[in-house]
Amino acid sequence: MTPAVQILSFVIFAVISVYAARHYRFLWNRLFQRQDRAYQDLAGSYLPSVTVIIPMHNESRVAAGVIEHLVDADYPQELVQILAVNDHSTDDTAEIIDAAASRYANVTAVHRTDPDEARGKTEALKTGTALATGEVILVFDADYRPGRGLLKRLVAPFCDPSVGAVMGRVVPSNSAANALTRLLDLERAGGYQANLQARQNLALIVQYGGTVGGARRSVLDAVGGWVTHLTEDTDLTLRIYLRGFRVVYVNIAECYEEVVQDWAARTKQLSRWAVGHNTVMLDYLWPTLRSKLLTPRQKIEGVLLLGVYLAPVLLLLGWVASIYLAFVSAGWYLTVYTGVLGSLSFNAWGNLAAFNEIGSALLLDRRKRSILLLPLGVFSSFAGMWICTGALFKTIKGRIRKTSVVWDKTPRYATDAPATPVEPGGGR
Amino acid sequence: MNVAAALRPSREPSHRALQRFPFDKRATMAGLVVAGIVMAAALSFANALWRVEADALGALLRMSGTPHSVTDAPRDAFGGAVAGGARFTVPETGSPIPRPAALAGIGAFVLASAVAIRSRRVPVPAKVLWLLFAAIGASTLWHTGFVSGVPPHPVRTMSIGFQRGGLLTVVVAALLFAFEVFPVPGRFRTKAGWLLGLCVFAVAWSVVRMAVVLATAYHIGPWTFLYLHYLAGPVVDFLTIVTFYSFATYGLSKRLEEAIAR
Repeated sequence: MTPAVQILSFVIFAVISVYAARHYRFLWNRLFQRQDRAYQDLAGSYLPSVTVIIPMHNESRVAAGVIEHLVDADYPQELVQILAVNDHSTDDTAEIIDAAASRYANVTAVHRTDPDEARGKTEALKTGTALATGEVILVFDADYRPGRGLLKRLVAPFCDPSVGAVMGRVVPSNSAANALTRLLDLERAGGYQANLQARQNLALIVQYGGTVGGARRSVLDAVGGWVTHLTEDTDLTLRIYLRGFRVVYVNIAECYEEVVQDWAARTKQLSRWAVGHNTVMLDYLWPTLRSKLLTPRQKIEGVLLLGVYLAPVLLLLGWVASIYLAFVSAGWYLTVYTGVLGSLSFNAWGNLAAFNEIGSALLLDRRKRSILLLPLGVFSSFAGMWICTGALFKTIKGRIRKTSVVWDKTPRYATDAPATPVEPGGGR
Repeated sequence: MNVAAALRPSREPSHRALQRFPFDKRATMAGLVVAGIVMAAALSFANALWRVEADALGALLRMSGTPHSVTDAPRDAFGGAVAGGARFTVPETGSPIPRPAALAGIGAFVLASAVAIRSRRVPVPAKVLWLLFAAIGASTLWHTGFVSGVPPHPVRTMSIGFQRGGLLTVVVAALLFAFEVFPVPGRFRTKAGWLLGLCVFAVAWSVVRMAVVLATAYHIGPWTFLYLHYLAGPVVDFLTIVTFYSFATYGLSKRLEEAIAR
C-alpha cells in the first residue's frame, strides 16, 4: 500500500505544480506585460440598447439601492431598460420595486408569484430575458452598487462582433466588517485584478461571473439562453466559447458588492459554487477537449479551469496521504514538505487566487496595509479544502440520484456601500 | 458608433486596472544572482551550518534539562547521496499505551470530531485544523496501541539535515524572492534584507523546533512528536515564507507609486 500512497502523493503534487505554474504565468503577465484595455477607448462611443436584469428574492434591504444607482447611470436612459425581477419574495421587495417602477419610466417590476413555477436566479433571468428589448443584456445582483460610468465601460467590448459576453470587476464594500470579509476581500483582489486580467491579456478562457456583466442578446439566444444551473455563469461561459465567441473581462469596470460575513453563509456559497462548477466540468470537459474552435492553449486552460474546484480536494487527499506516510516512515518528510508547501502556495487562498497573485493585486491596488493580512489566508485555505471536498460528494450524489439543484440564497447585510467606485488614477 | 470620438486618443488618466510595473531587467538579474548565491551558500556551507546548529541545539537541550547523546552519522536525505549533520538521541521514556487507553483516546477524538463537524459555532477553518490534529492523534494511538506498541517513526532521534536544518526553506525562499519580489520595482536592500531575514529565521526556527520536539519527546512522551514535527514543520515554514513575502511586498509598496507605468 505504501508505494501506492507515495505515487498518489507525488501525482497530487504534480497536479498542484501545474496549477502553481499557471498562477505564476498569470502573475508575471499581470505585473510586467502589456495590459489588454478591453475596448475601453471606445467606452461612451458605442452605446447599444441595454437591458439590465436584477433577479431579486427577499432583497428588501438592498433592492432600492441598486435601482437608484442604475437610474443614475451615465448612460442615455432611453437606451436602458431595467427589469427588477421579484422571484417569489416574501418580504417588501415587491412593494419596493413597484414604487421604483412607478417613479422611473425605464424601470419595470416583474413579479414571479406562481407557486408551481420553478424558482431561483436562472429562472428569474429567463423571465427577464423573455421581456428584454436591449441588444445587450446585463445582470446585476441586488446587493451591487454600480457606479455612474459602469454601463458604458461594460458595453464597450460589444462593438466587436466576436464578443459574446463581458465581465466586470467585483470589489467588496463591506470588507472592514470582520476577519472573514477581509479575507474574502483579498481573494477578490487576487481573483480579479491579477487572475482574470491575466487571462484576458493572454486570450485564454475568461469567466463570465454571473453579475456585473452580461451577454449579447443574439449570442445568448444562439447558445441556447440561460440553463438552470447552480453556476449558470460558468455554464454560459463554456457554451459561449464552444460556439466560437469569447468573453471579455473589463478590469476597469469596478462594482461594489457585499461579501458574506459569517462562515455558515460562506460555506453554503462556496459549496454551491463548487457543486455547480463540478457539474459544469462533467458536462463540458469532453466538448472542451474536442472543440475545433478553441486554441490548444484555451483547451489546456479550459481543463484547468474546469478542475479548479477539485484542487482543494486533492490537497486534502494529499494531507491524508502524507499523514499515512509519516506513520510508515516512508521518506515522508520530503513528500510532506513539498506537498504541503506546494499545495498551500497554490491554494492560498481561495480557489482562483494564489497568495502571490493576491500580493501583486494589492500592490497594484496600492493597498499597503492589506498586504500584511496575507498570512491569515491560511484559514481560507483550510476552509476551502473542507468545503470543496464536501461539494464533490454532493456533486457525485446529485449525479447518481439525478436530484435537482437547490438554491441557497446568500444573506444580505445592507452595509453602506460607496456610491461610486474608485475613479481613474486612484487606489482604495 | 461615434467614430470621431472613438478615434480620439484616450485622455483617461492611468487607472489601477490597466497599470503594470516596468520590467526591470537589472533588478530581475540581481534577484537571480542573489538567489543563486543563497542557494550555493546553502549547499556549500551546509556542514559548517549544521555544526553551528548542532551546538545551538545541544545548548538548548541542556537548558531544558534533556539528556542526550550526539553522533555524527551520514543521513539519507535525498536518496542516500547526501551526508547530514549530527544525530541527537534522547533516552527512551514513558511506557507503552495500553490498548483500552488507546481505544478510549481514539473514541474521544472521534466523538470530539463529530461534535466539531456538526457544530455551527465552530468556524470551518477551525474544524479542518481540528480534524488534522485529531487524525494525527488518533492514528498515533491506533499505531501505538494495536500495531507496533511504539509510536511510529524514530521519535527519540533527530538528525540535522537539509530539511530539518532549514536549508530547504532557504532554497524555496530564495527561488520565491527571485521570481516574485526582486523583479518588482523598489530598493534592492529592502528585497535582500527581507530575504536574509527569512533565511535567518528559517534556520533559527529549525533549531528551536528540533529542540522542542526532542525535549517534548523526553519530558512529555514520544507521541507528541508527530504533532510538533508535522504541524510545526512544513505549515510553519510556509507561514514564515508568506509572512516575510508580505513584509517585503509591504516594504516595496511604500515607494511604488512613482514606479507604476501604464
